[in-house]
Parts: sequence; C-alpha cells; structure tokens
Amino acid sequence: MEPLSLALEGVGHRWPGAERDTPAPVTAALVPGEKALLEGPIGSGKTTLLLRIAGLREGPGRVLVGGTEMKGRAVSTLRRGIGLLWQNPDDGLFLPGVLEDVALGPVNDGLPPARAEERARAALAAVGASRLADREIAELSRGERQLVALAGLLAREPGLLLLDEPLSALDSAARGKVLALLAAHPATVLLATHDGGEAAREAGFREAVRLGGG
Amino acid sequence: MRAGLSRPGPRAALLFGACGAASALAGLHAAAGVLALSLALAAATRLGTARFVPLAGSFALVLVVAPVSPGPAARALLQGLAVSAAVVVAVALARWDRAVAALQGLGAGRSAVAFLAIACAHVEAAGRGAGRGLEALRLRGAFGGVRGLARGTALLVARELRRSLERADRTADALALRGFDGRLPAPPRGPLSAGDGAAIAAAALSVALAVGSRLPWSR
Repeated sequence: MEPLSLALEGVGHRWPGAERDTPAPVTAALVPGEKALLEGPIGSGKTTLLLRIAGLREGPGRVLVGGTEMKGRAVSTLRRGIGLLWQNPDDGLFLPGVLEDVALGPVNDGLPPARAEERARAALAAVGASRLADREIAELSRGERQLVALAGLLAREPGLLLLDEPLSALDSAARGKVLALLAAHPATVLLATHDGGEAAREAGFREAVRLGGG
Repeated sequence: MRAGLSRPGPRAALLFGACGAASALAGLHAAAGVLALSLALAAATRLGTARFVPLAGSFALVLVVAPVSPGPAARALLQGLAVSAAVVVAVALARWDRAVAALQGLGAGRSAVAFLAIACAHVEAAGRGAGRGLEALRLRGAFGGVRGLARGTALLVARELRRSLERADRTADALALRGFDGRLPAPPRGPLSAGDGAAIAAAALSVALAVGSRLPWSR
C-alpha cells in the first residue's frame, strides 16, 4: 500500500471525571512516508492519541488519514491501511503459532494461503525473527513477541504504522535493526516513546509531537 | 507435536476436554468411570499434576458434591463448572487453532469461526494471566493461612474478572485493526500418531455416548 499522510487537528481526549484533556489537544501533520516521533512522559496520553488516530477512541478534534477524516463509515476502510503496535505485544497477538499469527492479516485480506505464508515469512525475516517462525507465542520472551507483533503489522503492508513503545523490550542490537527497518520502510511511521528518542533521531526520525507531563 | 512445545500435546488435551464434557453430560456413574480413565491416561502420558488438577478437581466436585447438592439448579451449576473446566484445560493444553481451522475446513461460517477463535484466544490469555497473577500473589504472601487463602482467592478472581473485561476490549480493537474477518490461517499439520488417532476416537466416542445417554429415547 502507498504511504499515507496523517493530519491531527486539535485532537485530544478527556477521560470520564478528569479535569483536563489527556493528551491536551494536538495539531500536527506528517507527509506520506515521513518517520516521526511522538514523545512524552509516562501518562501523558501517547497511547490514547494513537488509539484516537486508529479510530478506536472518540473525542474532540479531527484525524485525517490520507486526506480522509477518520469518522463514520470511512473508519473501517481507513483502518485497512493502518498498523498499530500495542505497548504490550500480547494485546495484538492472537493465534498460538508465530507463523500463523503473522499470516492472520494477509489471510483475512483474501490472500491465498501459500501467498499469505510467503508474506508472513518475509515479514518475520524483515524484523530478524525468521528463527521464530515455527515456535509458539507462549514460549517467547517479551522482546520476541514484540518482533512477532511488528511482523504481523508489516505482513499487511500498511501505509501508516503507529508504534507504541516498540523498542521498550528489545536489546540494543534488535533496537538498531528495528529502527533501521522502520527508517527504510515506505510507510509513514509515528513512533511513540518516552525514552528511546535519541536512537530514533539518529535513525532519521524527527520529533512531530511532544506531549506535556502526565 | 513439533519440537520445543511446552504443552503435553493435542492427544491429552482432546481427551481430557472431551471427557470433562462427557462426564458432566452423562452423570455421576459415567463421571466416575471417566475420572478413572483420565487418571490412568494422565499417568500414561506423564501429564504434569499441576495441569491435570483443575480438571480432576472439577470431576471430583461433581462426584462428591452433586449427590448432596440441593436441587437440580445446583447440580446443573456443578455440571456447568465441570464443562467449563474441561474447556479451559483443553484450550490451555491444545493448539486450539487446529480444531477451529478444522471446523473452518468443514465449511463452518466465518461468524462461527470468529466466535470460537475469539473465545479460545480469550480463554488462553485469561489462563496465562491467572497463572501469572497466582504466582505474583504467592510471592507476596497472599495465601498464608485459611484467611489468606480466602483473601488471596478473592483478590485473584476480582483481578481476573477486571482484566478479562479490559482484555476483551483490547482484543476486539486489535482484531479490528488486523482486519480479522473470521478466517484463520491453516495451522501446521502435526504428525498424527496411531495413539493420537485412538485417543481422538475414544474422546469422540465418550462424547457421543454421553450425549446419547441424555437423549429422550435412550432413557
């Protein structure tokens, strides 16, 4: 899929009973293929903002993906082009086997089984996790699960990648590899982090959004 | 079974799951027989006691409590518990996606496949969460003494109920974003030994007998 632009116009969220918005209204724009950072301390609303962008939460402001507002019937169509990596990788993993889980998206996109498996193996290879293909997810470490979850997103060839602390459980070698992969990937990438900004900047990411204290 | 799996394998899981359901359906005599058979199989397959206890416990509950339970409602509740425990243990032990994918191959509708897949994935995740919770509470000394046992159990149940609801939300969100439409990739074909085949046949037979014994014309 072609990389998608992303525009945020006063996007915020107020939790029930809260006195202020978390995150405070955000305005930002990413051009197609841009690699950007969403930075802020713990509790500043990074995850909530990613969920808003993915159309999983409602609130004030407008989210435009590829120039179309994430609203109403457009949501399900736009989601086809979005990949969201959850902070806890277990939230995004579904099937017991690694290869089967990575192939889940392509199969549901209508690819024939052999083609879906090919896509899944390629995605695992891209994140440096080919060795995990025949393993079960229950046996993997958190870092390995993070790689598998990322492969599951890449296998659908998304136009916009939303990544919630994708480096938090990785060792430095895997961090470098993942950052290099993301920097070279054609998709637009918004990477949320509270501490990994420096390495991401070195890999070519620029700060797009900085949220205030939690 | 593929190398490196930490589970005892689909044979034991299928058997225990089916036997649990069968015993609950068929009543006390069948339950007693199935319990004995299960214990023998557990020994034969060297299934860890920790994995077997929940299911054996549910059988025992039915066997011991059902005769003195006040009325059909309580008995039905106990049998329901046995079936639930059987399902939970089966999901925890087996590659549930093989069973669901097999149903898909037999022409089950996408909504049925989606329902089963989501339910199984949820049970599996809940089982893992409860296991971690139990260990964490133990390490924090929550199960000391009779009072501690009651308090620890209450804490664990409350935590898992709350987390189940949160997990259900996240699972729904994640599946929506991953484009899940009720289609599962075919799981890898495991080598099916003669023993596996015999166990599957025995499990199917026990369920068929149990269901048959509950049909009106068989009474």
